[in-house]
Amino acid sequence: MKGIWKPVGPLLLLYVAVMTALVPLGPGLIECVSEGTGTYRVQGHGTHFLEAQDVQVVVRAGDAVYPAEDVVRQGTDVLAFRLALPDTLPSRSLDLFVLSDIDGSLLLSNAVFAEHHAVDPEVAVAEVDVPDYAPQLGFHFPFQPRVEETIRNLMWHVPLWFSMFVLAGIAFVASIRQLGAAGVTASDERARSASAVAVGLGVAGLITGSIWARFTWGTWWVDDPQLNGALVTTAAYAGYHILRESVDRPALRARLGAVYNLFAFVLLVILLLIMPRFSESLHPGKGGNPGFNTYDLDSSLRLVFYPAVLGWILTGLWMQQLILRMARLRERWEHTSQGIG
Amino acid sequence: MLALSESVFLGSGKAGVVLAVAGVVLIGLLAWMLWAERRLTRLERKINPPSNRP
Repeated sequence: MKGIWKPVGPLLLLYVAVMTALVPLGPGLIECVSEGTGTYRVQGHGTHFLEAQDVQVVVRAGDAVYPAEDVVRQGTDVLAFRLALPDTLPSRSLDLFVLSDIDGSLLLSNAVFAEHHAVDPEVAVAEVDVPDYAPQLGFHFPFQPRVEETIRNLMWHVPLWFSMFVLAGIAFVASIRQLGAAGVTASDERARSASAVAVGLGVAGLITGSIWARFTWGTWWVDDPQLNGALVTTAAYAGYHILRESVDRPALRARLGAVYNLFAFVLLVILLLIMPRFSESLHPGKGGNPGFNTYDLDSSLRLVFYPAVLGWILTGLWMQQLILRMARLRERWEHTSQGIG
Repeated sequence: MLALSESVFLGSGKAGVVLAVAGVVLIGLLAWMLWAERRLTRLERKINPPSNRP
């Protein structure tokens, strides 16, 4: 009964994997391309333009709304339309809305730039009746511009770091206990095993983050405080193991390792939790950027994200226990061998 | 190397590749954990039989 929690982590991860793979992405607009003479083509993703009974297109400049004309559904995710805008607009930059009885109201910010129009913020505009369709969709993940389908990586990348923090916290507490005791205690091995799993989770977090960056930011790595902090922190925890291996005397190794581990944890808190909040950052939730929780108003991500966090933490704890038990067995075996020898 | 990996792994319609890679990694990890758990339990019982425990 003692280890009944162990399969819970992998089972949760299995649920997360299935949900990540199967839950569709909600509809959204990707781009609006001018095709000359006031005609435009808008590319959607996960939209239902052909299936919908009514699809309307409007553009918004400031508070003024202008309906599009000749809306043609060229595919389930492609629309063509024509804009006949007045000579004077409140703004040259126009937001595009596609209103559909299935997809609801889809927005593409700054989709159209009316460069040849005059601008008068106070220009009078006629009232336009815009339908207020509620989306008729099943369970789906929210569409985010640029992020698009890669939002599924949220279920892996972020929980890996949460789990890493938990394991680093265990190593921190074990290191404090080791420092408060005389000689080598069980806490030393607990700190080592927790740090080992923390390094593995950190590396996995770096890899998943780098892949995500390549898709959303166009490069595998950017000079960002959050990314650099994550790399330095993972390297610091890897350094802990190198330090341990370089010391032969067990008591000195335990003491040095414990002191180093305390510094590594402080480094983690400063570089990953504090510094990115006070500097410019591309990373969501850092440097003034909104996190995904700001967008996810329908909580669909949370139904998968929270189990993913719990799943990775439990799986990380199980890994740590396995490493700890292996080390204890090895120690016991070596002790027995020496006794026999 | 990166350019080659991009042509294989990136682009639309590659969800199957992503799922296959993620599935192999995850299933491999879990299989190793289950194997290690069973083996460790067996070794622990061998070294420290239940009758010897307090």
